[in-house]
Amino acid sequence: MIPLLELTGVSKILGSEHILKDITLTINEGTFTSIIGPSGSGKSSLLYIMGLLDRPSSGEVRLCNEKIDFNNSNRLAEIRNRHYGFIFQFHYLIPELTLEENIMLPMIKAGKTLHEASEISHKLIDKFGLTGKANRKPYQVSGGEQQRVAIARAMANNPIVIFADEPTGNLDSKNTEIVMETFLHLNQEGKTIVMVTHELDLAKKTANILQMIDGRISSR
Amino acid sequence: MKAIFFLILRLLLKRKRQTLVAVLGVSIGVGAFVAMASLMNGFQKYFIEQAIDLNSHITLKVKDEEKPEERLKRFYGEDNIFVIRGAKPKEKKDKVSDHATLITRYEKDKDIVGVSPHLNAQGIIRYGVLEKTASLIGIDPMLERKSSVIDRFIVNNRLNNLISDRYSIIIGRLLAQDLGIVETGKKVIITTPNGNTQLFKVVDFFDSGITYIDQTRVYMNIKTLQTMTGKPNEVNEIVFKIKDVHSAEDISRRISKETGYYTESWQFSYRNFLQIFKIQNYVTYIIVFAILVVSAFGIFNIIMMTVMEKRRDIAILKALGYEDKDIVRVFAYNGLIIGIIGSILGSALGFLIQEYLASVDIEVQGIIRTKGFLLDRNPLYFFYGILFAIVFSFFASFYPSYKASKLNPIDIFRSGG
Ligand SMILES: Nc1ncnc2c1ncn2[C@@H]1O[C@H](COP(=O)(O)OP(=O)(O)OP(=O)(O)O)[C@@H](O)[C@H]1O
Ligand SMILES: [Mg+2]
Repeated sequence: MIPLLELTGVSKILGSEHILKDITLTINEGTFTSIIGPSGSGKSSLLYIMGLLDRPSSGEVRLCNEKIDFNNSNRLAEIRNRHYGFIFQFHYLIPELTLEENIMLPMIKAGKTLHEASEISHKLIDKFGLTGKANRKPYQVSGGEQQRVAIARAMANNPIVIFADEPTGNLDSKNTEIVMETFLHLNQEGKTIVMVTHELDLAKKTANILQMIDGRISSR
Repeated sequence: MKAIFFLILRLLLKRKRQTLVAVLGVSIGVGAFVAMASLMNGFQKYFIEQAIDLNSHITLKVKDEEKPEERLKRFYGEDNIFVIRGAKPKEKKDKVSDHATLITRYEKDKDIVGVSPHLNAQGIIRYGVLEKTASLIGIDPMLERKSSVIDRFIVNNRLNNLISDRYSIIIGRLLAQDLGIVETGKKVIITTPNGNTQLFKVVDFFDSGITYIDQTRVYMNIKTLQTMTGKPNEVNEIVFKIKDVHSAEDISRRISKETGYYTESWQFSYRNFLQIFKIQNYVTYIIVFAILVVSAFGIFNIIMMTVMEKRRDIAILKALGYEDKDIVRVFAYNGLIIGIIGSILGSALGFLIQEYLASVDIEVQGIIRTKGFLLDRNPLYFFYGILFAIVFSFFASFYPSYKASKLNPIDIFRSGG
């Protein structure tokens, strides 16, 4: 087991609220971890810190043994761009761009040429069952398809870890299943995945479950 | 970088109508600037060129000098001046008696192109029953030619008649009109303040385009005027034409020092006009500035609205690793592109207005008279117009873009954006 992401004594205080309390955990390479817990227990907050979108009030985060400096915003942006993939409940596709262009965004930021980015984007479109829809706008495809585009976008720079916050929260059961299958498939290919959900059924399909209650991890 | 450009394009296309309005605002600002600058400067340049070429670059004259303490008071205020009375008066000159020497002396000066004596007097000119006051100028036509561009304004080019016929005159076009004279050869009677009356033949007209000059001026041979006014061989003004009109003030000062006479540069003679022009320019530039400010607000508004509406997209871009400076660029370029397109269209608009104004064929009558508008079509006006517009649109879009870059993505993710 090779540790990918290590949190040590991470706390988050927002105003007077203690959102995360002294969290220590390790995400190993190649694992599929789900975080469950009641609403308001701090699941998203934890994911934002692991995803380097937010800074902890105290404690340490290590990625591949690199201690993260939360003051170096350029480095944080670089890690998010090159090594992380994000998927959210509301897929956040840019409505003015085609599906293909949405998938190209992280690659262009990473310095790939438009041609390379377009090629990879087409491969991902095929891989996630969206063949022929590259030039559609997000509103021209279904919610499930939009979420698969978001997954493709998360995969664009071949990240070392994918963070998903309630990726199926907005989907019907059929699409939920498709998305879950996709994740499991990616995990089998070796991708590390951290997924927040409050559906126990889905969590049960993953190897590791972290149960959060009131800002703490209560069981694993 | 490429990503940024295709994002910008999409953003611009999204708000077609507002973008168009903002672009139009900038265009109108730039177009108005170009048109107004060329119109006003055209007019002012024309006026100054005509006036100074006609009148003189430097005038040396006998003058009731302002008391020195009056001048000091103007600069230093009433209370700071002590006047010593009873000082012995210095020698005072009341006519230019040594004019012949002065003229030969300054004709050789390297800065000076021409020197010419004038005798100025007031008079009354009568044609039939009509009477007008006139300012009589006695000139030596040969010397006058060298020190002003008088020939250019004399309609039938008969300046030489003043030499061959001592009792011929050239009168201003508007003065002639006022008197009802439409053709040359008419006889008029001129009376000088000392009571002398003389019959003259109008041999030509004088048309400078500057209203007050054409309305009052009468040219005649200096000898004739000297005789009429009872001042034989007297001159009360010497005019100089110099090589570089911009050094008039320096040369004027030098001549004054060398001769002891009062001298005046064209800048001083025309200070009232120059002052009016300055005010006119300020007013124009304020108007144009206001137009540009309004269009800058348009740009500010559109970028601000786009930023508000694109909060989700900004959040996801940041999550995907786009840096603050990338976000600033997306929106700032957006504004800049509006500014650039606006200034290109504005330049075209300015050019079209210029073309139109140049083609208008109307009689303009104010302090100057011309056919059509006088335009100064300096390419610099385009340059400045474009420069201002781009700087304005840059500043207008900078704040909203900066705001956009400071959005915290998790605030948007939490609120479900
Ligand atoms: N800006 C904020 N200021 C103060 N408290 C906040 C802020 N944002 C979130 N919180 C609080 O932090 C706690 C954890 O929020 P978080 O979004 O991480 O919960 P969650 O487990 O993801 O809930 P859900 O299942 O509803 O998404 C909540 O109690 C919430 O009220
Ligand atoms: Mg949450």
